Amino acid sequence: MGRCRRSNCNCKKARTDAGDGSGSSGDRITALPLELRVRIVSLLPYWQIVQLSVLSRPWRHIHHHTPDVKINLYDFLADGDSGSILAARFALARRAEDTSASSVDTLRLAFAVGDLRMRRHADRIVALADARDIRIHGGGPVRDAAWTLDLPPLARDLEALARNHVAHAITGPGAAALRKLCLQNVVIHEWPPHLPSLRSLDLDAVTVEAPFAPGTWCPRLEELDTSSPPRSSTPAPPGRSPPSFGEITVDAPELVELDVDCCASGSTVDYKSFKLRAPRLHLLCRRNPFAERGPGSVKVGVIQLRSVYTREMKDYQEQMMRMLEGLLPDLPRESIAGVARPYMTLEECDDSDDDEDEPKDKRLTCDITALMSGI
Amino acid sequence: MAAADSCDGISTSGGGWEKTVTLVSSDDARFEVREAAASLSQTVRRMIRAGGDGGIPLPKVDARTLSTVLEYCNKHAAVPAPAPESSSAEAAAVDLEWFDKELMHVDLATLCSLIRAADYLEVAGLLDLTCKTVADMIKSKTAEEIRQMFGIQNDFTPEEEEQLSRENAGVFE
Repeated sequence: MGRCRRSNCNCKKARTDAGDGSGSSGDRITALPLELRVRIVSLLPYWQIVQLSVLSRPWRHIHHHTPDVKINLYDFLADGDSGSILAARFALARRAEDTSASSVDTLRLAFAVGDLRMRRHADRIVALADARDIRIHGGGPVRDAAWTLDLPPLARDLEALARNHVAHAITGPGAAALRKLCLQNVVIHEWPPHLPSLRSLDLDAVTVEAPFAPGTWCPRLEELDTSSPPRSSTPAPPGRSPPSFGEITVDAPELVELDVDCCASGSTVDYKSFKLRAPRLHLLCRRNPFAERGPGSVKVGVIQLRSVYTREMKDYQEQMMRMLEGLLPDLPRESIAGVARPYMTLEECDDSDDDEDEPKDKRLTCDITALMSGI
Repeated sequence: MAAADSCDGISTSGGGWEKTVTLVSSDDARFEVREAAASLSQTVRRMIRAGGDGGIPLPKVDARTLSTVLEYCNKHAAVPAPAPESSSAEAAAVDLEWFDKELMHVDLATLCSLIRAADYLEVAGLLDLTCKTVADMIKSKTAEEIRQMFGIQNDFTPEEEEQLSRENAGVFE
């Protein structure tokens, strides 16, 4: 290739050899490679991608290739337009039959859980899309607790956000393979019987009206994250009485990371009891943990306590000492502080987005692995 | 400063305070660009690492398109690591958004060239920006409006069209 013929080309001057519009310059969009057209249309809701299939032959199966499928059932059903949603379902069915189609990676589905018609459509869409990652945004309260979500075979990742409705039961061929479950703002009457492959469980403002025993439900659980704690055993009474938090038992042989945030809703809470047995635990984070129970049989990893708002760091130090007493039953109580001091660090948290004049979060960390091997 | 970061063979100028590289378009125009800006292109970044002689050839991008791509890269690479929550970071973000918007005021042919170039050069931010611009043009338009806007020829036979409209019953009037 000869270089530099126009070495000092100022390309601002080189405008406009491509004509001044789309009309005369041919169909540039269709000329783009399929993967780039797919990238463009993936930003649109699925029903509109389906609509593009009538443009011309090169667009005929565009909706068979988008990795993301976004369907908001409110768009259709609020004004009684179920024709469009049937068309989208039909399109997904054709996609499932098309051997050259790409599989759906992420299905984002929004609907009113309490609306039986929407729920039927939603169930069909979940089955037809057979997505790896399913994100459900449910709205509205639901009285009918018998909703069952049938996970299709390829499902690995389920995220369900809702507003205070009863969580669906999880069944179907995908349930056995599900690896990640994220629930927000739901009430769980009864835990799904068994999620044998689940690695990561994230519960945000979830009420569990059954004994909370994630280790039993999900024996391979590696990561448990509960912000605003699972309220177990005791159903929250109606009205304004403060939520009561029951007994928590986390007995999870594979658990590596446990994050319990007890004050996400602005108030602090305590459990009647919090038992933990997690021999492989590496990181235990408890934000403002008022429960005084020890961390069970933790031998490795770190214990991390974070201050929030009102509590003095001194309290956390005391609490850490009580935890350590539980871990080191053979040591005399008065010598624990001295033994543990080299393994403890106290630092300010930079990730707090509070205003500058508010006190910064502090984090007290004890390196259990080092402590245990040091004595 | 990562002064040891070798860039052997590629024409760098200004042992002064900023390292530059030379990019060569398909029509042999040469662009001297700050390395920080050029490195927003993952493709270029890899070629810089691989080393080479006398400029980095980009045979799939013409000079006109490349100049727009580099306009984007220069602007976006100039942004310093923002000090969180400072008002100047906020202002820089607004300025950048404004710049992006202005940059997208181009005809469709240019937009398509930019999409191809951003894809080939792997400039993620520009690819997102250009794709979103086209998606916004499509949004909420009927099939016929989209055909007209993009100059798409409807090449279906009447029979096929009938079948399509049956399938999409409800999508169109």
